[in-house]
Amino acid sequence: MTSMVKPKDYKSDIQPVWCPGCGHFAVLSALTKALAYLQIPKHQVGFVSGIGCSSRIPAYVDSYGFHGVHGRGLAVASGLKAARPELTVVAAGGDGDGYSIGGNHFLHACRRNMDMLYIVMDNQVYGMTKGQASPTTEPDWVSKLTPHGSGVRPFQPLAIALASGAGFIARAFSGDPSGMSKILVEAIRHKGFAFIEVLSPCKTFRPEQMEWKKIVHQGFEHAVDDPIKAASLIHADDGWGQGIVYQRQLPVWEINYPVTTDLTQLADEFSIR
Amino acid sequence: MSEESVLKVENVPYFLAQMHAMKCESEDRLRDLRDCLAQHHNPGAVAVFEQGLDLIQQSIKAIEEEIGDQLLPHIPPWEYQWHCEDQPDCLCMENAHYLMTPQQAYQLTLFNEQRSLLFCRQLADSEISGVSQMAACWLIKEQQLQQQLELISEKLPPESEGAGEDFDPPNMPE
Amino acid sequence: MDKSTLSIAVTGAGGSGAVTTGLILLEAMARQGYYGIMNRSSGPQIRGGESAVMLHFSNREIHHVPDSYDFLLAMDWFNIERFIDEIPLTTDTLLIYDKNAGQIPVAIDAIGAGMFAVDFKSVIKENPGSRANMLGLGILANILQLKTENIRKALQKTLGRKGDAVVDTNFKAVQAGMLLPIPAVHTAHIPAPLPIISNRWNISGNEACGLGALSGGVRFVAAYPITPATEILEWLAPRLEKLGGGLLQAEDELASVNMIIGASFGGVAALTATSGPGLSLMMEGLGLAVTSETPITVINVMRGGPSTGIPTKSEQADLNIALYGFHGDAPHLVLAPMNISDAVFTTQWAVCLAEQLQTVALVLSDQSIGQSRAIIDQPPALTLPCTRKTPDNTENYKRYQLTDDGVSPMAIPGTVHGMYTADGLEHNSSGTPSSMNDDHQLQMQKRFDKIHGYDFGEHWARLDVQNEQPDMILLSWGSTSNMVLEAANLLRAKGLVVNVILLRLLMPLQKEALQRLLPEGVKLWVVEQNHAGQLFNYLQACQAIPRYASVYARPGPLPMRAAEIAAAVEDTK
Repeated sequence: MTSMVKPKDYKSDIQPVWCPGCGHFAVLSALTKALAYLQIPKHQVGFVSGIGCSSRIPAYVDSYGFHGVHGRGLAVASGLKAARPELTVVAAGGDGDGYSIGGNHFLHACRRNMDMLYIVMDNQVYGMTKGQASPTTEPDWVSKLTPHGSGVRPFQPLAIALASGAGFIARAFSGDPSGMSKILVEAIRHKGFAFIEVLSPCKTFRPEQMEWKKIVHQGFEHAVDDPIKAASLIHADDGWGQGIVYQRQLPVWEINYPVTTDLTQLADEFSIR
Repeated sequence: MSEESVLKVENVPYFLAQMHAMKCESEDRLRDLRDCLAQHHNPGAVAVFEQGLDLIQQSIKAIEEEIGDQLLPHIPPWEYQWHCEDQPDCLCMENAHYLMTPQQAYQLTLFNEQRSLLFCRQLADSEISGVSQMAACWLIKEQQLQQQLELISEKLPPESEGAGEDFDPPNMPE
Repeated sequence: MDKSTLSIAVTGAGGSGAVTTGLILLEAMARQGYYGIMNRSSGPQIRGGESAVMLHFSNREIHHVPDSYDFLLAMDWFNIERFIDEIPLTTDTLLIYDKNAGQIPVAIDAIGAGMFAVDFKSVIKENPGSRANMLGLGILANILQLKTENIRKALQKTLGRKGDAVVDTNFKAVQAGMLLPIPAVHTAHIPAPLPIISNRWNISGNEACGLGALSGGVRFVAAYPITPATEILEWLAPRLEKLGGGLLQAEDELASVNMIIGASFGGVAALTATSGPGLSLMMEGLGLAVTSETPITVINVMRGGPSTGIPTKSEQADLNIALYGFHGDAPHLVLAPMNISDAVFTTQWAVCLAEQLQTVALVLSDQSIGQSRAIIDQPPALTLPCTRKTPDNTENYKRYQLTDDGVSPMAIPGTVHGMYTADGLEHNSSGTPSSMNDDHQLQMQKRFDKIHGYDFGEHWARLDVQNEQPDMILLSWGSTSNMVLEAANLLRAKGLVVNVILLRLLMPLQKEALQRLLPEGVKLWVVEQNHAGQLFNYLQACQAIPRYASVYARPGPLPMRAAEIAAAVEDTK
């Protein structure tokens, strides 16, 4: 037991600046527990994020990290995984980062199915910029930019992930970090793109979300591998069900070719003979 | 964790593993709370968590002495038995607040240790041979810990009126 | 007219095969011992539109377009007016055309070129399976005295993938064309080919950029197609795999720039290629690469702008965005190849510099280089210093530590103890985000010093110095360089002493080296293919050129021509 890497060993020296009470602490804790459970060497983890409170997380993990620009974390993660398929690549971000500006990359990452984990810490608000509606915010939530509420129905991440072809879809809750650890372990083990939507309350801008623990429930008893069943389950769910809803082994996109030529031969293609 | 929840602790090594995991969780949680509230410049809460941390670390030392060289089963987080039903994990970070009073910090520190007390009591009352005796033994230690924690509460500064209001608007760091 | 060169254009529409004719002619002439360059133009239709190829041959390496064309083979007159500006004809031109194609367009007729009508219809009737383009090629082959062996091999190369029967039929058609009467008189001087002594290549500019990228060590490419850069990516895709790397087709340019950042962070040299609109999208990503000090190379094949502009035409109007497109102060590299051969070197050099200096290298190619095809001498295979500085030991490793040369050792993921988080946020030497004054000053200065303190050596420019005290100096960059060199020759033929400076490294500007080449009082002309005079403005802003310098700037879609440049600069010397 003593030679094993412990969860706290995965934490870096940098103290998180998240507000006390933020749900993201639980994500950090659950992730370090999952990595410890799997004993993945720290130097073989690449942790990529975009911009937002959620996206601060790579700095708090003692691994290789990349804090990129808003919405593009999945693209950086994809490039990293493509170039270094042996690394464990985790991408993370918030609901704005992932579903708004990052929406297009989300769709294509799901369908491309590269072997990586994508965690979205969904607090249904833009926290970093002081409280605007996000794609998952309820349409009647009043904010300064949307004084009558957005009036737009919320984004449905699980449904969209399924429609876009993701092979592992789950929902977790920061109020249940142990449950989240289990899902994270399964997600990292899954060969392909694993998507976890984590309900992670924002204490500062959405203090009412502290009530989430009363409505979040065990939603999906076990993962199904039939997309039609999964679609049914997802649409029937009230949006607060935890668990892995869908898991299916699908073709994984990767770069893995042997060297069969050299520069001299390639240059020679142009020769006039 | 409620009185009715069913515990599946079948042998002493497993019990010790659960106790050790629980205490380590507490330690991690208190450390995180302490560091987080320090980051947010709340020395009152930090002091409470610091004291709680000290006590928990003593607790861990005691358990590790009991464990000695035994090889214990490795318990993944989702198998922790001292979960709270309506609050599945003892990581109560969400109950923290940057303006929390020392009293509130104390309540948070107490909550988890109350659950470990309950865990020990439930198992002490069980009839699982070996486990109930060990649990009974630890129950005493947990009760002592409770008393030590109560000492902290006696020394807490009084709650002042108007404490916990920040007139500044939030920041936008990025 | 330059007697050492020969220029031929071929036009036709509706699937007449003008481009195929050009490719075969280029290859056949190469085998005959000539160098040449071929570019194309077309209508907007995907297939069946009006099409033109323009070729320029010489018995030494040639990269410039001629002032006018010696021969035009026009297989029909469909919308040929589209090409009037691009294929300048004079009274010395010999225009070979189809007798049965109908009325000769007024604009063509008015030029007064030599007209030679061919009754393609009858010949095709007598030679079933033949087509006007191959017959026309035969006529040209006859005029040029091309060996049938060379024609045959050229046909094999160009049409071989369609099967032996096709090659055979077309060869017979060419032979039939060679038997047709040729005009008794034409004024074109056909230079005799010199013996072939070097290994020569038939290569396009886009292919050249691709080869340069691989030579520099690129093994990951993220791709989003855009005219006129797509061929770079398509050439690279299978070849990257053969070298153990690969290409990922991205969903958009925002993805491709971020993907190459991810791959580079992972330790693999990475590149993408795009054009103006794509470069605009990539800007934020480029800034991220600069601040996080992640090496990447982006090839921008410039086309007519702004906005969607003219995708199929060349222009040199993306210098501004390449230099200044970043928000914040973001030191980086901007390079520009001058011609197809130079594209191999310049791209390789750019990749190597990016890797060494852990920054962004922008390579400004353009449509006229990218989509032209040339016969060139095999460029020397160069080994350039290309390695990324990595830490010797990762004890107390700080990713962005201050160093003498400004380059901080970069730990590659997988290296034990080298963990760090790269960031677009300003950071301290450990990489932790920081808004502190010292950190910003020091990191900014470091990112500046590592580039501006680097010794780029002699490759920053190509020089054609006739005399230390010339009458005039011409300064240019990119594809216009080729016509500027020819313009200098025209001026020299008139007795002027002309020096030419062609910039390959545009940023950081090698100001001191440049100023050493600008003697006091000597007239300087900057020549470039854009409306605003972007290079001129940049040089002026840097106070690198004298106040009495002038600019000859003209946007696309037409290429500059030597005579045009010479005329523009001649008067004010």
